[in-house]
Amino acid sequence: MEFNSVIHGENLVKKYKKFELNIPTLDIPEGFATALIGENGAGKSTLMDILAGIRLDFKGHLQFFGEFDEKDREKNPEVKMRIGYEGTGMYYMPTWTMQQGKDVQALLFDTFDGKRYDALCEELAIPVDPKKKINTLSDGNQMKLKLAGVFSRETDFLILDEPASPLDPLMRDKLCDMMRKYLLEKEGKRSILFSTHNIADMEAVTDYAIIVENGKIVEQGFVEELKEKYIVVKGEGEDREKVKEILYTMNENPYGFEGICLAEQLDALAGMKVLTETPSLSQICVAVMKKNSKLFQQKEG
Amino acid sequence: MEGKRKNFNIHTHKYLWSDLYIGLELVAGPVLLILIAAWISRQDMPYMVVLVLEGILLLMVDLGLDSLIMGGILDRDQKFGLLQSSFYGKKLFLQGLLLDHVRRFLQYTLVFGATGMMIYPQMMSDFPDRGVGFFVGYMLGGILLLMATAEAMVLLLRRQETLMQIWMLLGFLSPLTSLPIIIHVFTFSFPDTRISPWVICIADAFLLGIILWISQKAHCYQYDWALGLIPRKETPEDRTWNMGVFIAFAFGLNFLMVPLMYLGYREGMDLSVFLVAQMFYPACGVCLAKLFSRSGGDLPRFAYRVVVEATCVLVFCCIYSIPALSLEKVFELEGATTGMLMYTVATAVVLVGSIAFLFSGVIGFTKAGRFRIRQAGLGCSKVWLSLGMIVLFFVLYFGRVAIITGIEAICTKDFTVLTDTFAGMFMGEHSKAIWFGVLLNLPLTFLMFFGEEYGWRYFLQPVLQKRFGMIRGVLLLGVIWGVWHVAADFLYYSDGSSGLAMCLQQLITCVSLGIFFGYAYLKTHNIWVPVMFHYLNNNLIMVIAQDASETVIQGAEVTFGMLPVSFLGAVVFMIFIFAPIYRKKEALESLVADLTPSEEWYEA
Repeated sequence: MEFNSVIHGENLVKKYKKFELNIPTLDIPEGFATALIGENGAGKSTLMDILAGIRLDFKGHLQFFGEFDEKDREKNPEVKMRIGYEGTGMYYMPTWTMQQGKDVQALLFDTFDGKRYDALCEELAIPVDPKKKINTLSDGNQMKLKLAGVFSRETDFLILDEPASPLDPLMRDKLCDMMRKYLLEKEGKRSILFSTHNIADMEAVTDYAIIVENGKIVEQGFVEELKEKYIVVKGEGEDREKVKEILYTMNENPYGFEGICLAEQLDALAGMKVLTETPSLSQICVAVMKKNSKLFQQKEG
Repeated sequence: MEGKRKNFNIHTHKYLWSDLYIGLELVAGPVLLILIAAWISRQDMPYMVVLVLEGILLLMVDLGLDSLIMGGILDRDQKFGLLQSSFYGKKLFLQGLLLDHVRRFLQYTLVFGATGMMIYPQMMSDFPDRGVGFFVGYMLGGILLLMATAEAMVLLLRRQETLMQIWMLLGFLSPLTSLPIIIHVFTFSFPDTRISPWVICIADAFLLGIILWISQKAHCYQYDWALGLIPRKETPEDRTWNMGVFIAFAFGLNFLMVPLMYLGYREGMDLSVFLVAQMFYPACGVCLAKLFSRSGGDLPRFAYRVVVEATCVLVFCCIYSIPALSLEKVFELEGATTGMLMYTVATAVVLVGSIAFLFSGVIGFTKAGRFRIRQAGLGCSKVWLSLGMIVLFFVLYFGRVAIITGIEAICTKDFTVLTDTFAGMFMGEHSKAIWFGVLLNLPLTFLMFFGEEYGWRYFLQPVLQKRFGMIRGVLLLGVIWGVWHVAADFLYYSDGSSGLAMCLQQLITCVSLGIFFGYAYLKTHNIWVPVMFHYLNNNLIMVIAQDASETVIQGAEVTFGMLPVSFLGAVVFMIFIFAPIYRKKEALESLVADLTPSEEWYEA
């Protein structure tokens, strides 16, 4: 599928002592919600920090909204104004109270809407106490507060780092609703990039998926396309040795096996008694991650 | 919005800890201070105690501010997603901190004013001819310096991975007393001039500007560090800045001290303390330049700070040591003793500094600071070659002694001089004690010699050699090094009448030693080799003269007739100019490459 990219990156390299993020080209589709999926330490947060301008020591080029580069982001207030960022770790200063958090956001972002923020706080059931220190809130409530902050601004692109992790299932559903609504408000103009470990819960809102493994993009595409590209194969015990080679993953049980392979390799299975099914995004991700994970390969080797 | 953004303090604090903190800062501390001041004003005690107490309170308050209230935001590795994702984040971050400074400045003006009222009568009885303006300027300057010191301390402390060190307190005391000293310099040395209070106030305003500028720069650095904008390596733009600061300190400070030295010389005081301080200026220039350069790179900050702070204390020791300027009135000292007293203090500073520096080396090796140490050129590479070089230096040094005494023997036809000198060195009455002293002094005083060599060999030599060529560069360095000693030549080393001859002699020594030191440094890439040479060169003279006191190098009578002899002696070092390494440009490149390890080296 053809698309315009809201962020285009080239040769993004960030080296750490034992880890290297290396992405030759990065394209985030405009008008869609993109999920960034990968193991812990795969480089998701680093990539998001680079895009949001939290880390500036990387090599490579970025283009935002088709017109600004990474230098414009630091010079032109408009760019950062149009990007909403929610990150893990120290997001607020450790000293801030809830009231201060709100005041500071109003100062930091011209489009911050205080009334909308209050309404969102209520909607998300955050126990609002202006004098309470943000640090003392529970993880879930802190996340809700951060989300209320980014969603009460007029932005065109959201970067959300693990928004679903600390939330309960009900809130995750609510988050998906909010993201959908956000995208619908300006159809085709707004985009979201979020990282997640809860692929199943967030599948409803995922249009495009980027799977990152060990600092590299190992698979990406629209969810519909990915579902056509991969296929679930179920079969009986006696065929398992023959199919093992083409399957990405294989779960065995006394009655038979179940695994995922590329749809184009299905011909190799001709003549066998197998059932095929459309995989879920979660199944695809696990399969691709397993295939590329360093950890898993070491175990198998 | 823009207006509101202009005076918003994002660091305002409102909760339990902050209540305790504000209690300490606004109520308990000031009340205690005022009570103590009131008590002191009734006792026969120096009012300086009040100033010191004020300083301690401020330091405590600043430490509390960062660790209790701001949750350690001054720590350089903190990152704050919300601030950094906004275009105005940095501005608000800095502005909040600076607003806090201004608030505390006003607050302390009040507190210090109140305590000042207590000690005012006492102070005025000490300086009866001064007006209120002098007093106000004195107090305001005191506050500013106290604040700046406390701020700098906290910033440095937060940036440092180690625990609080005793050294900090020493450093803390040094700037603490600086403004009073500056005023003393004027008021005591020129008792007839009355400084207008306006001058003092303008000076204070100037000081405030500088302090805020430094503070802002330090905080900027910290924010940029969190963003990853501070590269680990030096950038080309830094080089001009580094050179400027180096020249300002190594030469500017050196020549600024000349009038003071002359003043002391005229009063017949002991100038040793100036010589000690002088040796620190080059390294201090390098360290300050690197500490405050825009990108700076990853530095062994603790070691650098030791050098800078030791220099600060030593400079103040120099100022104090001049009888006409000193705080005799405050400390009630006899005029003639101040020089020696300050020399003792300076020796202690060198001793503590050397040990602290060694300590920093240990930290560096255990805490993966190898990159930093190597980048700063402090590494100890090519150990065996280095040891060989030191042996070679011994041989050459005694060779030079042999040539000079040999010529003397030929001229006087008295060959016992030759045997006496060498026999005395190893079998004299005190020779064992002196040799032992030379050995023992090494770990306790090496910082002085590091102070010079780090500036000359590590910093200046590669620059000059790159610019003027391998041979011309090292010769020029020798000349610069020699000329740098000019004030000491006239006022310290020589007996007054033979200054010019001493200068020429110094030039011969510096150029010849410069050639050999440079040769050894190019060969070994190890700064500790020239440091060791310099140490030996300055200390072996005691072995030769069989005299371990400072007077051995003072007030020598040098005649022009001795110069050719010195020159012939120096030839043993000069011949190294023909060493093949001085013909190879690659030697310099490999030295520079060794001092700037690549990212790959770091990653490995």
